[in-house]
Amino acid sequence: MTRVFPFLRPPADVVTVGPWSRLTPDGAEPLTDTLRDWDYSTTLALHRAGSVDGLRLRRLCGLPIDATLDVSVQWFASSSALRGRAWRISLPPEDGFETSIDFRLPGDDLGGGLELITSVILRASAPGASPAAATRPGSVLWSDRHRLTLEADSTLFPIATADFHELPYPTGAAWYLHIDEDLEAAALGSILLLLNERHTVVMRAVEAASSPTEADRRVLSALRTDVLRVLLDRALTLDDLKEDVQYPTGSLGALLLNVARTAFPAFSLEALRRERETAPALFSSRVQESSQLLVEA
Amino acid sequence: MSVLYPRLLGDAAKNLHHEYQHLAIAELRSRHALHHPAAVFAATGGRRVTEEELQRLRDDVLEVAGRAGFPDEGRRQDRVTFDLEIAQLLHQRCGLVAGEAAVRSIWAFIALVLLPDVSYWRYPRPPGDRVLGTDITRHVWGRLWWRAHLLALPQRFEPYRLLDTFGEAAFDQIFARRRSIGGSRALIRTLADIWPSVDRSGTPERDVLVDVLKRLSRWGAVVDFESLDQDELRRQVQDAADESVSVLRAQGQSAGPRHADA
Repeated sequence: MTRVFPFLRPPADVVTVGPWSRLTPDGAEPLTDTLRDWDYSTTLALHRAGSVDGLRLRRLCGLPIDATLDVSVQWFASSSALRGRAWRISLPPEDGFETSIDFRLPGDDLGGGLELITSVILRASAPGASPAAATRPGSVLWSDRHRLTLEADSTLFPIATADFHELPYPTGAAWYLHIDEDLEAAALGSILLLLNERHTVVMRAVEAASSPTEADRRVLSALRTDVLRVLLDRALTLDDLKEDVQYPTGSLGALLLNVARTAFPAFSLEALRRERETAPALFSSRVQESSQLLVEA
Repeated sequence: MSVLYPRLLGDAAKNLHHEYQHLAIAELRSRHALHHPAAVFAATGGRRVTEEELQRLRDDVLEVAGRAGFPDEGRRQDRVTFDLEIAQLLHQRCGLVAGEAAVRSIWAFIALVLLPDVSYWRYPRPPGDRVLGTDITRHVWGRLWWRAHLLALPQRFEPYRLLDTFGEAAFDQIFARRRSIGGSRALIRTLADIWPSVDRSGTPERDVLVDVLKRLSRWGAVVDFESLDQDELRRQVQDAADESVSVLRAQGQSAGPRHADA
């Protein structure tokens, strides 16, 4: 979706930013799309280098040389729907201004998807600005977004174990994927994969997931396929789920759409709904293929 | 370290609500528990809350409820005070981080397993949203934690002084729109801070608030509120409030008294 800004904005090349990196006790490493080792107690130390043409940017935005600008970084967390400022520096009116973005981000308010938004912001205009220039402090003159997923495995599938004898599920079942219906709610709190403690084969396979035996691998493959099938079933039976709706980042709606698109990139939601209804066996085979059921690694 | 609470599965929550909505408070008191077979801990970061901590939380909530008239009906104002005290208590004591507090099924556990008697006392014969894990903005306990989290000031002295700025209905407006105003705690706190000084000139509070939130939401599409210093943020929120009052007052005047000539 293109956003229309009611003021002059410069071309993208007035700012050059490098890739994000994560600082660890062992040095810097590239910031990956998913941070599997993250949890709420993690404080992320992040860095990126940047160069900004502060003079050219002012000119192309119709702002005088003494307009006050900042370079800032804001975070947004999908699970809490909260945002905050992570870092800020004043941008002088000089081209090729080199800056090193460094900050630490505690995990308290984070979870699910994390967006890091690097921006150039108008802090205060000055006399002599173009009538088409931004005037309101805080106006975003340039921005760049980077998205990543925190605690990837458990974000999408928080897992819990329970004795199914105590629950309204078949006592002999291996697992149950619980999915809520509110498409706008955070996926983190809407999905829960329940494993039956009585099912020793499944419990053993999941506990050994980091170094599975061949038998465990087959069980995990069956689990993956069934999880995909249940998610697709939910996506295709929820009439409210529509492809042209922009669901909040990290929401159940966004997740279900993403699952359907990733599993079947060539099919529309409508086509999948039709096939699931008219040719369920064929649809089931497609799910097997998409999830690579029992395919040797 | 974040504390994890049990998540009460949706079907079990619905069954409990179905059963509990017709029971007397005394009967509900005997049904409270510190665990439930359909309440599970998810494997996300943090440590599991202990049964001792759950018991202490229940005891503390009961003490606050007692001051507000529990188990008797009590006065409306007492329940307002109860909400404010509980918001602070939950936020200070539960050890929850925002990511966990967004998990709705933990609030269903607290409402239906740990505190069924107080839940149904606070909202007698409630619609499901008040006790189930379906909508945190309406939940008897979850909305109070979030109210405290969004309004708590990052300071040691009186961090919760903004909690009573908005009434329940007014805060519901803010909470329901928190995504559209960007989930910015700085913005919500600033709005709460200036709100008592806004000259509404007789315009209904709710109308002004809804209009201010719409205005801030529109500006937020091109303005990064988080980047602003406190003084500038106050100025912008004050501008939004002044504009809203001015527009609503003009609309009220042009509409004139209804059926004046009839």
